[in-house]
Amino acid sequence: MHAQMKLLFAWPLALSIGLAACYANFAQDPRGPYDPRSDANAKIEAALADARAHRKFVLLDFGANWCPACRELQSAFAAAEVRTYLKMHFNLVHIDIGNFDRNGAVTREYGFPTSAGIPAEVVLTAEGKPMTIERAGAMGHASASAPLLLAWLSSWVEQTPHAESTAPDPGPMVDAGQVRSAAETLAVRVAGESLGTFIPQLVVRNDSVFSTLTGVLHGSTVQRVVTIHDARSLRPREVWDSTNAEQVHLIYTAGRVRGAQVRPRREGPPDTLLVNQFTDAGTIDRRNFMIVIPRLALTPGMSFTMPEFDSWTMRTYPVHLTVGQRAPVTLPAGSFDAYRLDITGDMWDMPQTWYLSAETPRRILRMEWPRGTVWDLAR
Amino acid sequence: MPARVSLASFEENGVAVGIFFESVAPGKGRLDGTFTPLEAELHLYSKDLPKHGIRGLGRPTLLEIISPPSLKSRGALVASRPATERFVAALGAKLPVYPDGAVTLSLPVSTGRNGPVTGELSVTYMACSDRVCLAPVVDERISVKIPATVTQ
Repeated sequence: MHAQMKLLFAWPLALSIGLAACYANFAQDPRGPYDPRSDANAKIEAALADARAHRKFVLLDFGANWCPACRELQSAFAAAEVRTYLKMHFNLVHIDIGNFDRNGAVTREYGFPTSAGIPAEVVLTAEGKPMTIERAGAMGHASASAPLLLAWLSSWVEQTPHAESTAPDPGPMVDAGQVRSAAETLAVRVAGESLGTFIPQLVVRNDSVFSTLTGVLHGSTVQRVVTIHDARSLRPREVWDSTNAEQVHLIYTAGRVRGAQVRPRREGPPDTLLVNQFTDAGTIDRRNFMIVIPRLALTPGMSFTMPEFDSWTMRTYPVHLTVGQRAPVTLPAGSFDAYRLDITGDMWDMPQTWYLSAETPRRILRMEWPRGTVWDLAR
Repeated sequence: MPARVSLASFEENGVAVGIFFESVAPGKGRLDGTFTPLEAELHLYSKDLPKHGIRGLGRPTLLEIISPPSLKSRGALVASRPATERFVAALGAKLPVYPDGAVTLSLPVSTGRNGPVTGELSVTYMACSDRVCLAPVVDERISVKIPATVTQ
């Protein structure tokens, strides 16, 4: 594989390593998960800050390393399906209570959850509001069964909308005049070397709107995405994505995204990750950016935020877009009147600069991504 | 007939504890510690568990003499019930525990003289069920007064 291609596709590997590092927090430390030296308040504050940023809950686990029931529960937290679900929806904070003589202030602040023994659990909203206090080892019965533990965890996720969170401004409406069948070929180069093409295509038939994205690198098809869109908003209803690394099927409905991500392994069954979480109103799938953005009712000088769901990280990111003034640009495909679009966000592929043609149908003329990755409209 | 007298009793962390002395001969007797969990499903850990547990897990049930030097044990601590092994899958460790419910630990002692002896004992225990553990009581000191001769 060329070095440039590695650059372009290095992010999934890096991301996988990052996720593995996060999961390592659930590994069985022979000393136990409860660290007597850690600052419980600082851990809780950090967990809440992260929960606010990523729309998670915080799960406080009060216990001690000498407590067999606590260690059994920790083992249940580390089960593959549970830890995956926890990572998606909760920040887990272990609070060492010593011989019931440590972190008394924290215990008091959360209503003495340890009053009838440990382990004791408290679920917090991202704003720090307790949603439930599980005393007297109420969680302990679940430690023998991952499905029971998952059911308990998901009961909070399923039944509790993030009422305190404010959905970002959904941004401009779709320009109906731009919603017509079209396809364009974007040639991708990394550090000047041509790698191949990606072809975003929108298909409009009667009331049905769907799109495809086909990636061909060095003569081989590396990605196929099919999306069924809402005909008016172009928001995704259903997404299928197939690459060498994974197969993804997502359904966006009722403020949630559900589905599965299946990653083959060399041996044994594939890693399967279930997706089931809230999304903001107006969320679009990361794969649909090239389809949706050019078809929005963009006007020079406007600035807006769109939520973008990324199934690699299982997070919805606010992505900020600013539309520049109409200006002539000269690109490999020719000279055009174009709008510059500056896109920023806390994602692996940001910031980006796009140039969109001013005429209808609007086309992507160029995209400039980090690490010298450039996408140009093919001649 | 030897008589059994109560030296102390208390409840702490889910367990009722009673300390008794039974005289068997002048200057000799037996200390009994009864440990009764207040909830039926709670169990106590074996006296033979290391003081800091196995891999840090659990705390033994103990009755120990602290003072005075004249108050000495005459033999090993004996439990009224045999311990069984409880498997902690999380660590792949087996912990020796007494069956759910009460256990009595007995310690043969010599008081050193046939007269009342004021002494200090120590008790350690921890009660758990399959899904919850209560706070351990570790090396709790108890002052006792052992009578000179107890007969009935």
